[in-house]
Amino acid sequence: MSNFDVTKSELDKVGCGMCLAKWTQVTMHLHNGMTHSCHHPVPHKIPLSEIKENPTALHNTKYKKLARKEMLENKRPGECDYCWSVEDNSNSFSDRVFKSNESWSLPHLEEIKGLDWRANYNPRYVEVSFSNTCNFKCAYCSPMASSKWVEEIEKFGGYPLSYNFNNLEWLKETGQLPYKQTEYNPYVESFWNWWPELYRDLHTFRITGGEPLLAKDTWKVLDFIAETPEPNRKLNLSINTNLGVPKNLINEFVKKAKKIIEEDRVNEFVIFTSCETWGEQAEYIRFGLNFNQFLENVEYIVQELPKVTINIMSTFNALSPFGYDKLIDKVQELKEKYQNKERYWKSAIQLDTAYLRWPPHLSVKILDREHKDLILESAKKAFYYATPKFTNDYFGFSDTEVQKIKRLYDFAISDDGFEVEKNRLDFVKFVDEYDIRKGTNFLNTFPQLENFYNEIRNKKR
Amino acid sequence: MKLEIKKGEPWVMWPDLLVGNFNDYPANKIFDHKGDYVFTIEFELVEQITDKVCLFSKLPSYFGVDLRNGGITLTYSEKDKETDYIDANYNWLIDRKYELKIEKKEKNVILTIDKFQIFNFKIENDLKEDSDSHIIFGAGNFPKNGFNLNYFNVILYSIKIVKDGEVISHNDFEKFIHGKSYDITGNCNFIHKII
Repeated sequence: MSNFDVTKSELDKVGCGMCLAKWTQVTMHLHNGMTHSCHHPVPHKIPLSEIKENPTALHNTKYKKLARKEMLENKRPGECDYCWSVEDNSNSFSDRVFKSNESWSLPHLEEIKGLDWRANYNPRYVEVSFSNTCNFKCAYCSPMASSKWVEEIEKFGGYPLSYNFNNLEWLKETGQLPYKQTEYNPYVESFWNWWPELYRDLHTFRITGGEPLLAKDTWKVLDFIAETPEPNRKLNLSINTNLGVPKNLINEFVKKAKKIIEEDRVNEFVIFTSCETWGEQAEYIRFGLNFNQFLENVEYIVQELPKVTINIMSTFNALSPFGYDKLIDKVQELKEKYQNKERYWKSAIQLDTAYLRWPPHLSVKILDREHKDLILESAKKAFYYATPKFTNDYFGFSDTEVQKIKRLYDFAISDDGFEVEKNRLDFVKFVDEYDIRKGTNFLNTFPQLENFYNEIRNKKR
Repeated sequence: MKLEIKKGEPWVMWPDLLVGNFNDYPANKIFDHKGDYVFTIEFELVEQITDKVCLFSKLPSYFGVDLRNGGITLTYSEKDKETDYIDANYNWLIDRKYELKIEKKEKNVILTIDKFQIFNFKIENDLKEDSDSHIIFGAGNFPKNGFNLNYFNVILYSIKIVKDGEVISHNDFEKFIHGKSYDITGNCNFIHKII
């Protein structure tokens, strides 16, 4: 019996829908007051009335407690339908098993199953976004996660595609429009009321955004961890950053991280950043990015912080295939140059390739086969760079890093009912509008897509 | 170009060891194939053979070629039978390139060296197959296992594998990437040093 079998069996003894992540994990979008436990259920609004009396309601909302009640009473909460679909239609383990099996979940099974469903519970794995303040407006991003996008949409409106892309009306209607950083935010206030207690029990704390290094609360967290007389030394700390903020902020960040690491105030410290391809094509996707500056910052950090790993999250999209091989080369070069025996995550740099699903007009699925084949070539390149052993003694791409690129190719060529023609038309409308609003030039930046673009344009006429 | 395999430092064709299930055409499983195949290896001896040495071995179910002073042995494993071997005399010379070819056609196995037929025999059953087959060059086993190693110094010039008439792997050792020989078919059936 595998560990997962054992965990599933233990969960099923409590109930057919039992999942520890409903207690142990939370993502809190404090910039708009939304929360969810596990990334599958859609985030729900945190009622202000609840956090007034109970700051832990950032996680322990009445809504979530009702879902926990169902889990403890052998029922399956409707919001977790992703897992039920996996369980009902395959022999695979669903994410409720994987997440419950994690080291931040499983040790708490006995405690949780003995709890009343109304009880508040301090999560162990916390992801928080304090603000949507960001100096980038990446092509696939949204006003929810970027203040620059909010500014653009307020000025020009949504993108006139087959639907109104990135419009603000929907956010306003559903109460998801982010607070500005300059505004009073009751959710952030509650977070700080809860933090001293929350921090004590944390296994993993990850700050996302917006751009976290532009959020004052990120610095408050770093200062707290750097100065507290009783640090939680078991904490795995990670921060997302676009590494495109002014140099003085990067320097300040490195200084604080160095203190935290050198004084062993955390168990590990990992940085997540993003890049989807190479050079000016990467700059086109991540509007606001200075690619060379980004690479300099990556090198500066792995050099100054010899225990830190930088994980490059790549949301691979229709504009990524043409320079991805160069990005892979660079990652391999940095892996070799900065390999040492003390990295928390063994490798100095990791490339974490994921496929973009939303917005669909930027999905790799809109591309021609010849473009998709470039993804396979990139996967093969990474395969040749594979490390013989994933330890601190060797460098190279891990099995997972390679598999994810190969999986991306499999996704790109799979036939799953994706509406290719509709999304191709939206793609052309999108880049036309993008160029007008941002002063970019799609065809100059992506000569490889000139024929593709023109064919769609001609069809449109 | 060439690959110089040093005594005690064997190489292996087993890409799956690094990244599972990547290859659509895993050439390391060629000796498990029930259809026809041709396995061709070009090599050169750099020293006189005194003891038995292993040119290559497919594991875990054994299929391999050993060289000895004045002879050659092909060891093979048929389904539902004990591992068997077949011997022949052969006079090995150093500083000379050899082309050794193993061709399986239906149930016939033919081994030639420089186009001269050395063995030609019929197998009764299919050869044994494994889920994790791999081919070691320059040893009869993984070094960590400590037995049947039969190391030697040898130079490889080419390994070419044809499955049902299609070349699925060709390492000509012109190019190496991150310690792996480049498979010019594009199928990523590379070989790398065992560490």
